[in-house]
Formats: sequence, C-alpha cells, structure tokens
Amino acid sequence: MLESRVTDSLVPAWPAARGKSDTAAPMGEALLRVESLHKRFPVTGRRGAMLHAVDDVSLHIGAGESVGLVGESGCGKSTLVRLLARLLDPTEGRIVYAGHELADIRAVRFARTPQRAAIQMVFQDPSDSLNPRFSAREAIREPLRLLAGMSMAEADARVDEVALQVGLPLALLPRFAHQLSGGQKARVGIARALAVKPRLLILDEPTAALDVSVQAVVLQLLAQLRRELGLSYLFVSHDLNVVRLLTDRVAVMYLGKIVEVGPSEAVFRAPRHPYTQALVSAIPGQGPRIKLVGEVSSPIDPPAHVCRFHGRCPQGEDRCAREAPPLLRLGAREVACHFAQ
Amino acid sequence: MSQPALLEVRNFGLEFRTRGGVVHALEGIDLSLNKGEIVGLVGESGSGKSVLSYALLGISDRAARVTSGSAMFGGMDLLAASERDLADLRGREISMIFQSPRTALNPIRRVGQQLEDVLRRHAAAPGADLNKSLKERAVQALRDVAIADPERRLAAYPFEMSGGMCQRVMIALALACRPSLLIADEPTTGLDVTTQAAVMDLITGLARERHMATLFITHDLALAADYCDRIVVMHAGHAVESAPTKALFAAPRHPYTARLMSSSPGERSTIASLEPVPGNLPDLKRGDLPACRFAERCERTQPRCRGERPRLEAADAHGVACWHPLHEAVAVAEAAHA
Repeated sequence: MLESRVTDSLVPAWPAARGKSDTAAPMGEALLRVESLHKRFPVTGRRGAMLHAVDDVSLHIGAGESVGLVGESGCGKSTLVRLLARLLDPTEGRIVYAGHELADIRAVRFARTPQRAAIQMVFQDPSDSLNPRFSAREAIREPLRLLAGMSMAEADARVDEVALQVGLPLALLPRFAHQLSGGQKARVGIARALAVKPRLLILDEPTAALDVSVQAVVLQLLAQLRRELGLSYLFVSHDLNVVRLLTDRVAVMYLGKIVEVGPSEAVFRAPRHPYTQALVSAIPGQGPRIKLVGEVSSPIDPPAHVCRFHGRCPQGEDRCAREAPPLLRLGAREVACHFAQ
Repeated sequence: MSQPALLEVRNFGLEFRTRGGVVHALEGIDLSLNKGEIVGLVGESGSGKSVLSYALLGISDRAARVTSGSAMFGGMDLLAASERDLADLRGREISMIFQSPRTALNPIRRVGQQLEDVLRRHAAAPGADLNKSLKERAVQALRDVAIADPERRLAAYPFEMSGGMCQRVMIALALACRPSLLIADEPTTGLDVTTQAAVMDLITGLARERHMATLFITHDLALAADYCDRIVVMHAGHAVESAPTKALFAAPRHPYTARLMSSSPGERSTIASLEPVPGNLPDLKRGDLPACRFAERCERTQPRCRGERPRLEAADAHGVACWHPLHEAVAVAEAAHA
C-alpha cells in the first residue's frame, strides 16, 4: 500500500517536452552523436567470416530528448546499446558524447573515465541484474563509491536522496533483492543508474519483466524523472506501445541497419518503411496484419548491394537485390527504402 | 446450448502447504470450455492461472492440495483420476504448450526424437514399420506448424533453432496426437511482435481447423482480445469476470478488469492516461483475506465485500464476481469493440 501512495503523488501531467521534433535538434546540440558505427564479430569455425551486428549506424540523441530503439531480437539493438554504453569496442565509427570522442577509449578503461557516470544503463530484468547478496542500499551505493569516489557517509546521504526521487521507501533499503517486489526492484535498478547523476540513461527493456499494472507505474516514474532531471533517454523495447508513450523519436533497426527514424507519433501512425509497417501492424489490438514470409537473411557477410529486407519484403523488386537503399531524409523522417514516399 | 461442455470446472479450490503457511492459491473457480472454443485466461502474475492449468493436467507441485470442486473432462473427473489415467490423457487428449520453449524442450535430444517420444507413447501403430511411420508422422507434425525443410529439422537440437522456431516445435509436440483440448501457457512470452503474431495465428488456425478447444493463458489483454472467443479474468486466485471478448471490452464490469485495461498502454493512451491498479496482490497466506480478494485495492468496496464472497455465475453470458459492478450486462450484439 505504501508503494501505491508514493506513486499516486508522482503521477505527472505529461511534460510539454513532447512533440519536440527532430528537425529542431541540430547535430551541433546533440548530447550523443554516433557516426557510421560498425561492429563485426568473427564467426568461430569459419575463417574470415564476419557477423555484421551493427552496420553503418548513425544516430543522435539531443539533450533532454528521448529516443526509442525498436527491432526484432537479433537485429543488433543490444549490440548497439552495449557499444553506446561502452561495454563493447566498435570495429569502426565514432561515438561522440558532449564533444568527447568515446569510440577510441577501450571498453575496459572506460570505467575510469568521467563519462562513465554520465551514461548509465538500466538493465532488463532487475531480478537478474541486481546482486542477490547486496541490499538495496548497497546496490545503489556501489556506483557512488566506485565512480563518484564518495565517502561512505556522503554516499549514504545520496542513496536516501535518490531513493526518494524514485519513490522507493527508505524502510526498504536494507532489504535484499529477493525480499522486494518486481516494481520495487525496478525502482532499485533505476535509482542505481541515477545515483551518479547521469545525463543519458540507456533503458534496455526496463519493464519487460513487470506486470501491466506495475509497468504503468514505472513508465510514469520514468516520464517524470526525465522531465524533472532533464535527462536524455535511449529506450530499447520490443513493446511498441510502450516506446510510443515514452519517446520523442524512434529508430527502427533491421539486421544491423537503421531502416527508419522519425518522430514516434508519426512513425507509428504512418510508418514508411515496409518493415516498420509490418512491425506496427503486428501490435495486438490493431486492424489487419501484414504477414511477413520467409526467413530473416543471414547477418554473416551480407552482400553490400542487397537490401537487408529483400526476400521478406512484400514490396521487394529486382532493384532491391541490385542496389541497397541508403537512409534518406523525407521531411522529418529518414527511411531506407527505394519505394518510400 | 444443450451440448455438454468439453471441460467443466466447478467450485475448484486449491492450496499449497508451505513452511511459511498455507497459500490459498485458488478458490471457487468455475470455468467451462466448449468444443472448438478459444478461451483466454487473463491475469497478472500470482493470479493463479498457471496453477489452475497445472492442476487440470495433474502436474501440480507436491505441496498442492485440492480443497474442493471437480473438473469434468469427457465424463472423467480430472481431479479424482489416477496418475495412470492422467498419463494416458496428457499429450493425447489434453496437451500443453509451455512458456519459454527453450527450457521446456529437452536440450540434449534432437527435435525428431522428442516428437517420436510423444507419438510412440500415445499413438504407436503396432507393426514392423513402427520407426518409419513414426518418422513420417514427426515430419508431418513439423510440416503442420510451417517449419521449412522438416526432414532436415528432425536432426536439429533446440539450441540450433531460433526462439520462434523452438516455439513451433513445442506446438508440434503438443498437437502431434491431435488433442481435443490445448492449454497454451503464455506461448509467446519473450518472442518479438512479428513472431508472436505468427505463432498465435498458427495456434488459433490449427485450433479452428481441428475444432480443438483452447485455453489460452496470458497477461496480455490486447493479445487475448485478438484471438479469443471468450475471456476469463483472474485476480488473486478468483475468477472475477467471464464474458465474450467483444462484450468484455465494450463494457468491463469488474473494477479490476477495468483497471487492467486502463493500465495497459494502447493505441490511444498517453502516459498520463495510464491508470495503474492501486496496491498489490494480497498475500494469499493471510488468514484474514477479505471475501472479495480485490476489496483492499478497490474504490467501490463496501463492508459486504469483505464479509461475503461475490460469485461468478457460470450461467451468465457476461458474469462478474462483484457486489458493485461497473455496468449491467450489455447484450453482445450491441457491443462494438474496435
């Protein structure tokens, strides 16, 4: 009951930040800018063969902006997230955070750079990502000790502060993960990421493990925190309805490439890329569905001149097998398809 | 409807005896399924939907005790049946598709072997050609679930296949003996929306084609709405509302159902329009559970709700277990759900 009272007082009016279009965020102001990012993994047992997990991805996230990242499992969104959180080293490309080039800093050394605290991550399932032998207080305190170099007393004071911010009752702080409900664990995961005052939060399916009623509370909390703290979000999810609610812009990935980017509301209302169209039509509770036939083509050394969606695409033509479509700007949208209007 | 239901659960109660006390997991559940009907069993985690389906198959945890009721399936009470009779029934007459196919499939046996195991146990035709006919039927089972190149896939291990493909194999296993009742427990959890749609199309398509009754367990109301004829909503071990899908969405009668709908992000929701269900599930170990288990989370609670359990009348087309429901029952014909 305590939980519900706390959250009731947190239910926000939807922030005015909504509708800030991507055209209003020029490249110069981007908090995070990714240019031609590639990540290729060697394939075991096949000499020279490379799996192209992330293939020439460019993306920017403005200060205070929330960007969604959607796509099927295996499309490379987790690899992209791990590159941006600097847990993985890119093969090629640039990752520029507030004017600092991050792509050159090795992942193993990144923990000791100041940008580590500025880019934080909220992981998918709080039951798996919280150390079972840490109390909630210890879990939230750890990054403060390691990244902010705080004394025990300073860190504890900050833990109390951030716990209140995320609506986690202080009485729950001595508890271990298994003594907390799903919603409470999600709050601990968010508090832990927020403790070191990041400017960019990468949220990897933060509500996938939660029941709908708890999910609603956590989504509202995330919207409110972003508004109050002026945070930027990169929000990864395969629940498109959730992405639509929480983001200004959305990027759709297919087999390592971004195939469509644009204002979330517009992309979901009128998707332009055939893959986005199929994805949106598969959301339950909609009208007729576009059924995709055929298998996803292989991400191992894909031919550079063929559209990745060719073979599954309802509109595919010969041209799609000869010439891979580049990501082109169409108004506020960018779409990688020869047939996008 | 003079035809008897395929499955008729009456006043079913079940509890778990644990070191921490007795968990009153299910109480007074009434549920019926007709031949060929697709019924959604919807509720949040802890509502008892999986416990109910496990109990029907006789695969409950050892700590489980049936406290009341019956579950008639084709003249046989599943709750009173011997393990031997149940073993004959499982996989042949009643099948189950489990959540997370990767853990439900045997990781060290080939797909073909697993399929043949089921076929051999239940439907082996005696004769010298046993192995050949088993293989043919296994191939056919994979073909039925639209797996390309089924002959080659027989030799695959589960880890060699994608999540969607594993789920197709689970479906093939469950349907290999053409059961009359299928229980699908969150069959699409963890799958992408596009794969989810393909798997649901497959299950419901085969169900319609074979006139198979399907109990579809999910926490996703919108998904249930897309595929089910009727939906039963569960909360904390009670069935709280049962209605044809269109009627339920046109006018939910139980306050919990209504809240569940308004807390789910949909096409038209905004972040402010989401209304979480207040409070948490009550602790089912408590000795002083209110008679209506939603009473402590409900805005419409009256003293009667705590003292006297509202019953879901199975005979009603749109039944609700509530003393103060939101709407009177609306005729199905008028219901217009987009």
